[in-house]
Amino acid sequence: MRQMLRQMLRLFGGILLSATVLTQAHGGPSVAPPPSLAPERTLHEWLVRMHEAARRRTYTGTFVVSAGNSISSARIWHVCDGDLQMERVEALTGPPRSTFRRNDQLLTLYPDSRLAVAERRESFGQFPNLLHPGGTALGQLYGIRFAGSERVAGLEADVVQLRPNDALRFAYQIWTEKKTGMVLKLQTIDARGRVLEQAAFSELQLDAPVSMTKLAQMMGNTEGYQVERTDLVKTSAADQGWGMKSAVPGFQAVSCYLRPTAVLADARPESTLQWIFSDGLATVSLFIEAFEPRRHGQPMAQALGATHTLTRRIGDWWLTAVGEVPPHTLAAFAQALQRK
Amino acid sequence: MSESPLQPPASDSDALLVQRTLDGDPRAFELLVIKYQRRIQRLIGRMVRETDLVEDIAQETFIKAYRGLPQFRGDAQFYTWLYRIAVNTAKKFPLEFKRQPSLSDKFFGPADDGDETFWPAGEPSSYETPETLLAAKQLAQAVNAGLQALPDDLQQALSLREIEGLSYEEIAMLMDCPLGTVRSRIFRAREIISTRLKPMLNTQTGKRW
Amino acid sequence: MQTLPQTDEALAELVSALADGQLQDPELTQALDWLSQSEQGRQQWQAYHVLGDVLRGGRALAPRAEDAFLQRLRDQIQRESLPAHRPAAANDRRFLWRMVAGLAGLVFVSLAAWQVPGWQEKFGAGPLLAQGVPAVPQGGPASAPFAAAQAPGAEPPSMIRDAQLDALLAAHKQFGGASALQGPAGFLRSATFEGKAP
Repeated sequence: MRQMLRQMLRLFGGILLSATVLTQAHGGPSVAPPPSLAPERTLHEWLVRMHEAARRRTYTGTFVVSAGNSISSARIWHVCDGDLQMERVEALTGPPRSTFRRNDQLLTLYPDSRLAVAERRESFGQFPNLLHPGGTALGQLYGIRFAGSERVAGLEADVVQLRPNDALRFAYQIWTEKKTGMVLKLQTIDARGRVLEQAAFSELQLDAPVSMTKLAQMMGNTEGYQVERTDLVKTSAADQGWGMKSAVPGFQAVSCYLRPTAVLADARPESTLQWIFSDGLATVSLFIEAFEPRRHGQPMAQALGATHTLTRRIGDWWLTAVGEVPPHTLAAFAQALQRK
Repeated sequence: MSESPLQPPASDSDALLVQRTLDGDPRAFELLVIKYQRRIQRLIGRMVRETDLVEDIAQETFIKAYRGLPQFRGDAQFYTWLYRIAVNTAKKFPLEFKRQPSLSDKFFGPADDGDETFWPAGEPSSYETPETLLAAKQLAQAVNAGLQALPDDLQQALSLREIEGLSYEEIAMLMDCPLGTVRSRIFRAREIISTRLKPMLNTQTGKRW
Repeated sequence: MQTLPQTDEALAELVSALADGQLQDPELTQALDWLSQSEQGRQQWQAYHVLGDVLRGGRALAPRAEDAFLQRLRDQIQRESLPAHRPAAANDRRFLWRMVAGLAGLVFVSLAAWQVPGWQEKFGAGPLLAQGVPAVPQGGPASAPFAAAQAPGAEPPSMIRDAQLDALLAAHKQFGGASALQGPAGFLRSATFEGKAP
């Protein structure tokens, strides 16, 4: 408890300091942080507020994700009623698909192939746990800095920068709606200051009239669709015979699942292990499967927006590391992964 | 030279250069770069203060254009497409590098980058170093002196084309001469001036093309 | 049959007309061909455009800056393969998801690019990798299974996002919930993710 208090005081001091530095750097009229982001607000508080905002509100909007020259967008309807949340996401680009979410239950409909995929998503409940004393506090991994105000999707937003204190993670620039704290725009930025990916509402109506019953009806209506359930088995890395030689700084193991491997039609069914790590903002998944010479080729590193991938062989196994982190971070994971 | 009064519309050489690049000739892309690099750097220089960033953003713009060539649909103008890439690339550079009030979307208007300036009058641009400023100034002086020294008909043809942006047909009407004459006057004007320029443009290490 | 100009001067005049977008075939093709092969032609192209830009009231760039810019760009481009052709079979059902290189911002990143000197200073004595990072081949075909699935006649793309990688990417994004950035931003990043439509 005392440790947490000390951490909060550190953050408090840190935020005050950067706010002062900011006003001096401008040279012109001093820029005082607006009341909504007063120095007393610690990183933790601010993140929780941001996190909760989206759950609690009801809204509709159009969302655009861009990385490089590619753009994906979708229309979203979100309703909250007490503890129950429902969401519908209608893709506006790419293969036609609709995703329905009811708390942790996800249903994705693909009208072209009349296929419905049902799966369970890792729950939000995880988030506060990431800041428990066992792991590195988020405030030690990232510095927070207020960077002004802007309008996004017609709403006034605070702009906040989260800068990593080491080179193992990316920086973020986040626009949160002033009154509610809802994330309107999110940019993932690399060490050179390039925006790798941007996710933003192009338009948003807060407190729009969205009917919960209507959404629920749509979700239940899978008539004419073949419903597939993805079988996920929760497990532990240790049980599966895997461990880490050394921790990658800042990243904690969060969960571990076995899932059926997407294989070619003629191969026998197999399982892939998914071992998930997070530093509180960025997530890394280590996918481990048996090495198959027909399917697994050369080691490779690729990038899609902010998401990087790395594949390589480890003994009789094939690793695919995926994460919104720089490639050398994935390489660090690959180095540390150990077969027990 | 042919003097048919009704010329079919000239084909878009930009789109052709794009196509040639996709067909396997990266040098075709370089011709586009040479054509637009100054304009693009000037455009970016109006949006971003820091000298070293301007060139980086310009590089990034052309690289993105190169990678995105398969998506360039020939129905739009290449430069308009390139302009949007430049603006978006400059916009995406984080706020911390831009020490000015945040730019609202109304500044990033459509294709005419002719007159827009984002800085209040009198603001010095930190876009160029003293050394490059001098070399650039000398280049500009050579061009202007060259223009002044041209015979009237050549000077007029070139000015109407480069400064007024008129087409050959319009110039032919204004100067009351055949199209072929317009074409050769503009060519000769360019040749005379670029004779002064070429020694200045070739001032670097043997590494070319 | 119109005879095409052969002399340097005649070719130079073609370049001038090309710069004004005033050429038709066969002159057009001839001019483009010449520019592609001739250094002299390209110098002319450059001189004409510098001239035009200066006349239009812009400042010129220093000559060294012009060439340095192009050289730097060329170096970067040479490290990447040519942007692929537009896919021949855009409505081929096997291409329900975007696989062709040049689309979807999929970039083949050499790990060496992340070791650019100077960026380390930004983060001070951060816990960087002490050991060397695994060697990464630059360019070249990716995993074999879906190479055969490309439309016939298409150039092999510089990178392939095969169905398996897509499935893993989707699985990873499904669990992006282990992040404070979850919420519509995080969830929608994954919902808008364009993986394979089964």
